[in-house]
Amino acid sequence: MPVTDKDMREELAAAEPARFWRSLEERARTPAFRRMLDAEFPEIAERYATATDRRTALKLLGASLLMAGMGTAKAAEGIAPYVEQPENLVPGEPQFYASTLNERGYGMGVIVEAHEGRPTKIEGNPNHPASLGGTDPIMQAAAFSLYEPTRSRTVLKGNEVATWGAFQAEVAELRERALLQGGAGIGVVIGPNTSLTLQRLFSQLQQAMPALRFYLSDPLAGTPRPYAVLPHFDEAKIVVSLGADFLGEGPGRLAAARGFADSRRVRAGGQRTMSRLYCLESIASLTGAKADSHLLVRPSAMDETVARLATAMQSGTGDDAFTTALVRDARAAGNGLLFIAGERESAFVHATAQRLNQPSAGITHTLIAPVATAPADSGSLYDLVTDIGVGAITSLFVLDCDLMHSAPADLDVGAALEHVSSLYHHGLHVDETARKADWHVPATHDLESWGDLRAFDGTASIVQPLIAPLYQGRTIAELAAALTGDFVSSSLDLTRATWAQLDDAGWREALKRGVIADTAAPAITAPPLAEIANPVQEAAQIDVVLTPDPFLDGGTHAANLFLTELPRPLTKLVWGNAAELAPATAQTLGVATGDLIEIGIDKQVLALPAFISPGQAPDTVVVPLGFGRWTGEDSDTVGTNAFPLRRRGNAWLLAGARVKKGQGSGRIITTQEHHAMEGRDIVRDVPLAAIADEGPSAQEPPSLYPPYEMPEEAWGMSIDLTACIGCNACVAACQAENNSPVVGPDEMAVGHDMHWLRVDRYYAGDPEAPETVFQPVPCMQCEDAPCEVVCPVNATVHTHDGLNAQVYNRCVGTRYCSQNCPYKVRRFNFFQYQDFDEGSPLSLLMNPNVSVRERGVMEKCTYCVQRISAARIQSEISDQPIADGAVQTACQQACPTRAITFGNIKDKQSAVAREKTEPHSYALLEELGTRPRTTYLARVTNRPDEDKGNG
Amino acid sequence: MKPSETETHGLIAAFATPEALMKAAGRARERGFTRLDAFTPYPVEGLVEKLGGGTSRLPVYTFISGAIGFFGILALQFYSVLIAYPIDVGGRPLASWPAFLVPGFECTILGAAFTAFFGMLVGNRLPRLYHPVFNAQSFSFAGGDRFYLLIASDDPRYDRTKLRRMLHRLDALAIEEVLE
Amino acid sequence: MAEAMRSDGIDPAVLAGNESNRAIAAEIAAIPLAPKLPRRFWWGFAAFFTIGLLFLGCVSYLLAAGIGTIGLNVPAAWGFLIVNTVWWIGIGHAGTLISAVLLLMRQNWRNSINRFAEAMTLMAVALAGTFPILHLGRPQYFYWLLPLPVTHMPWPNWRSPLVWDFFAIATYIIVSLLFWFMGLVPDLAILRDRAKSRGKQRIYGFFALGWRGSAYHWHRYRIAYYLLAALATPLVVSVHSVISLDFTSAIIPGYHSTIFPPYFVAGALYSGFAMVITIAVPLRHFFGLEDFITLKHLDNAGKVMLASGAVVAYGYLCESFFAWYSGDQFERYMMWNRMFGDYAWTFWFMLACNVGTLQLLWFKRARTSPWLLFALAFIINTGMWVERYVIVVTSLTRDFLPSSWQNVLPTWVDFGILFGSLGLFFAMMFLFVRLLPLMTIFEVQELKHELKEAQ
Repeated sequence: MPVTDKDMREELAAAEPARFWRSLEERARTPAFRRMLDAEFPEIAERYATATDRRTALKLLGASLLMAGMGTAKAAEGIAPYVEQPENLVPGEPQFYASTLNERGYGMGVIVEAHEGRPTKIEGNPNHPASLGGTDPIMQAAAFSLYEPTRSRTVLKGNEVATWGAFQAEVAELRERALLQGGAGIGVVIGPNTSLTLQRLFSQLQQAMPALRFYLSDPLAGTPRPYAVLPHFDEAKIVVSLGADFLGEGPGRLAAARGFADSRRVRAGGQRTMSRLYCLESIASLTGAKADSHLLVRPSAMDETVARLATAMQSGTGDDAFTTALVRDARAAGNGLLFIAGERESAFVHATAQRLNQPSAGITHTLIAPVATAPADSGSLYDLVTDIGVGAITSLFVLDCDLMHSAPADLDVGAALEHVSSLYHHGLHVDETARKADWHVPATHDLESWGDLRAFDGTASIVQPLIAPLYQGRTIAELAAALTGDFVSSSLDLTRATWAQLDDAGWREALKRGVIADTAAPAITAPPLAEIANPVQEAAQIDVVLTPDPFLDGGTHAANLFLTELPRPLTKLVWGNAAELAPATAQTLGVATGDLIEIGIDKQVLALPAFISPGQAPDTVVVPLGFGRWTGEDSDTVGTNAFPLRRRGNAWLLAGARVKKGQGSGRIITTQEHHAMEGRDIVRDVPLAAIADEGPSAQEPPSLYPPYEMPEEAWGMSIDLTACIGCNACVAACQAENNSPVVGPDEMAVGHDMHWLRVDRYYAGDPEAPETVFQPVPCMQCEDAPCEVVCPVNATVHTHDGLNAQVYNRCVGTRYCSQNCPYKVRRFNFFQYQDFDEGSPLSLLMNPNVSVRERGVMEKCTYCVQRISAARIQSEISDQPIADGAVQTACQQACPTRAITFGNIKDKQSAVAREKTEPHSYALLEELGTRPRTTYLARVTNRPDEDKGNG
Repeated sequence: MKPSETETHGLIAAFATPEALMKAAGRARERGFTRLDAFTPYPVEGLVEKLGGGTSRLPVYTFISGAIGFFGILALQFYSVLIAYPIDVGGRPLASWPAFLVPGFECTILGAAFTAFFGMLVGNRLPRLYHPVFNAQSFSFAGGDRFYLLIASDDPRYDRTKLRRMLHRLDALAIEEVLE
Repeated sequence: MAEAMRSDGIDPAVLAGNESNRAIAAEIAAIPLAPKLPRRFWWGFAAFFTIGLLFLGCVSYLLAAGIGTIGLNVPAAWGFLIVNTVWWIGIGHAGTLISAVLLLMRQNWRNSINRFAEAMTLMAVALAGTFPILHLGRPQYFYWLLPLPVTHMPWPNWRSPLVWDFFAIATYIIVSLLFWFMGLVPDLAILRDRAKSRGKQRIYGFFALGWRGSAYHWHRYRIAYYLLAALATPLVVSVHSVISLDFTSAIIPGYHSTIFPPYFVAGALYSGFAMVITIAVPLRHFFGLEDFITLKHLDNAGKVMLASGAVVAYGYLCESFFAWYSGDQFERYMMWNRMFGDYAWTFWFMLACNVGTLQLLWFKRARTSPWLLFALAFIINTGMWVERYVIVVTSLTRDFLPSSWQNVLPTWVDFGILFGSLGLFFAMMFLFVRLLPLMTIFEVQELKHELKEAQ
């Protein structure tokens, strides 16, 4: 008789822990055995729960392979390509599947590259509205977090290893009891999640147990609003950000970045207009960096500044340069206006923005009903603690969130959780909350799960697994189902049931395209505006304001070292957070970068190293959230947790915070120590008005050397500095594609970083209100490469298609090439950074088409030569020339704003060749005569004061 | 017992000063002796000429091998970049001859130096750890104040007694038979 | 008479005392042949050898743990080890100059100091040769720089100054060795004939190659010796010029400068003679060789230092001037950074040592008071090391793109290797003094004879 997938998985779940055992006691998992372990072999004991030693890892690998075998069985009922032609799996040929990643509960559509069943690389899904083909660093790091070694691997009962079966039994029993009082006493804490499947299950649950209560833990929640704004940048002539970092934050940021960049993509032969961005902000942001005119106001002054702005809009006269210019332009722009209010700005700011937007409603933006992220009547953490206090909650399910880490100071979650008689935790790591729990169930990674998610605009898409769970992971849906009494349905069944309206063809189509057709939320008309009075903020001497770290997302990705080591876009900080403040503020406080700053609220005092970061508002200290989260024995906590500074009612701007210089200093690790261009011609600016009359860019300097014939393609790259928003997605993509290692804080501190591609950030002008510019610097692939000439062993030479190749096997490590590289884009393996231990799950992450470098060799950007040769092989098979755009470098593909163009510069029709003929195209350090293949398009500015220039 | 002439290598006489040795050597030549050798603690100008030697082709050989070194390495370099493995390095011409001159120069010196040194050894039939002259009681290289003249026994005009008398007149400090 | 002397280029002051040749031989040969040397000699040796062990220790650690253990990063991927190489090679130059150039110039005063100067050269260059290899990321493959006909190996890139280095240093070591050994042969013969113990006779005898001072041998020997000298002479100029090409031919501001070759050579002689004095002064003091290493020698060495030091100072001047005169913003910033940047103190320290102390050498009093000279020599050698640090490291930390600027600090391994190499060097000098005649006996005797003729 056929064994169904379900049976098999239950069997395995039941059997797995006992598959490998050293003794009968161990097999039985008796407490006695545990005690014996503790007594006899403490070193095993401590690693026993989440064993990462080589042997166990290999065991798990074996187990995971076995399950991967199942995976295909599972795929047979789900994953599209297999259904049609299973023989499509050609060893060595990567496969691509559409899936969806979960970011703060919203869906980000992705295409995942898998090699022999191992997901290795994430790309954006062009069909998906939240990606449009672009990605951000967090998406790029998803594959890393899948194999991240400190993940929780087994079901735990207390400290004992338990089984899913046992957990189900426990839940079943609990359910029996609860049903009698309609679920009274049961609480479920969830993070924000837009999954319709979850919503379906939760409502079922509520019907079955009316008294069961839901609590939402969303430490990064912004100001609640009855609508969401979908901007249309193509229509907006004037964009005004009221503290909104729409390029760097929020579920729609990639779409916004694309739209914004397209509205500013000026070409001599094409689009000649660009939108103008006014930015009013108190926390330096990517959006602020792109602003044509921006005004820094301290957070406590935001509301009244916005109020003054609003009145100025009516009166038509501003009292400062910023406002005056804005008002003038607004008049001219008519209903081409778009005001965007920051997620965390007050309701007043939102209301004001909404009112100012009124005339251009439907043109520069549409409104939709906000996408639901939790059951309607979910309580807050405060409610939870009160309920526990009064004994209303006795059994608590904490689903995929770490309450202990994100709890505010005036909320003793720890004590509360102690009072809960039975606490069930579900998550990727055995974190502090899991430590308190009676039961812990490992969560599955998005790449291991079936499910569905909705994007910022409501579009739903399927979360499709690329691999069967590596460990005993379970989805939230499966837990929810268990509570509803369904112990058999897999999360695939649950998801499929949600989308019953799709027939099999439609389902397969949804899987292939990565979006479910016409699920976008309909536009609504603006709800009537409640007139909100301008609340008066009392201004402290120094404002302390919290902000989510751009990569760690309030701690969700705290265990992802790939992200921890990725330079923060503006500060270039890695491996930790700091109190960021403007130079003048630092002066008033008498601190320099690295000195400890003490931030106190009531009795709570937090000490962080100061980091002078131009672009922060005056008298403001900015502290990123998401650091200092403990994620299990084998992981080390990075940075300082700032959540404990929070109080009820001031989640972001900390009223009544005291700031003073502390004793001693803390560790600051940054990948860029100098921020001025020293008057060097590095990043070029060209005013919009000037583009027309500017002649062709300077001819390349004469050379004594004969030109080499390029028989085939001549690859080249052009980077548009106007489009680049400095988000670092390219850096992350490069690292993920090219097996670049994570080297750790100590190595980063001494300048041994291994990122092949870096985004340089320079400040210009007044340090208190600086202009911020970004410049991605990959290898320039110089035609007359200085690095090649000096290599004594010909380890770096030119290829037939003009790449500046690095031959790792030949390299003896003189580092002379790096010395002689004016762009310093070469990276050296000072130690054995790559982990060659097959025991580590991370070894599954490696891209098989990129060689893994050993100690003592130089490495560098290769224009993703592996992708080039893949394309060349294809072209030779099909006997067609390589089409323009057939080769995309990892950085280019990841870029949300399409700032990077790559291709064959010999073909004058290719996109890159055309970019290089633009009048504002230039080569970096051209005067050195290195004749770089990578060139830049100067940053086109559209400052208000430039208008006078062209009348 | 007296050793027969066949067993003897020759007759050695020690002098106190290089001048005396020069005089003696000169006299011996006038007498038509040809198989002469002299031993001094340090090189003495013109002594070899007195003994009737004094030409060496060593400089020529040294020059030639220097040239070989130069052209050899240059040939190797051109072969390696033009024939063996031509590849675009930093856009420089394949035959970047100015760069090749440095190894060229070094190899010139190297070749010449080897020839100068080993040429000297070969010319002097060195190393030769045994030599009859070491058998002579009076012979020592240690002092630095003795200058020796040796007349080999295979010299056509070799006559022990006559020689002794002559060397006495040239006030040799010691005269001794050198055994093979 | 006096005219005769000068015409003959001989000055009695270079050989004081009036021993017979036998006495000279006896006195010089006494040290290697002595059954045992005073305890303090061995204490000295032990002290330096212990420091030398530091070198071996740190090198082993470096090879085991990887090149990351020394103070390097990107941009500054070259550090102490390269500085050491340049410095040690420089020191080598004095020996060659003394033994080759002065020989050709018939500066007979060289005769009593050339032997240990050459030994110094050998050991310095041997040490210098190790650093570039240790400095590799994969030292086990250093031989890939050689054009060996092995299929798994690429041809070396002949355009790379590092390949030139490889040839230059190798040639220099070999030629110095030949030259040194050739000078030793007759003296070994002397030791052979003076040695009492059978063992010493055998060992010295073996290396003496059966030298017996035949007039014919001496004739060829002379020719060969002068040939070698003539061949070594260009090396004095070329080796450090080639080393300087590592920097000159690089693109980095602070490296890319045409003044380097001459100014490196001058620097080499400068530090080399400083080292000669550092060794000569204690030698003559502890072994009572005042008659052979006379004040005249020290005076001359001092004069050479004065001359070469002046050229070095001129080099500094030119570098700064052209940095400004070129108008090139990178060059200008580089020089500004040297003088007032994070590493400014090294620059001023360098000037103080190499140009400041130099001025004392204008006075004969200073040149002829051994221990003062010794002190100056020490300071100058420190200064010369720092000079190379300024060039190699400071330039790298501030190159073209400010975004990649970063300082770099040495680690304990760096210091261990530097001081360890010094210990090893002096320990080897002790062994040399113990085992070999530290002056060319036969040349001193010849000198004696020439002096007599002159009178």
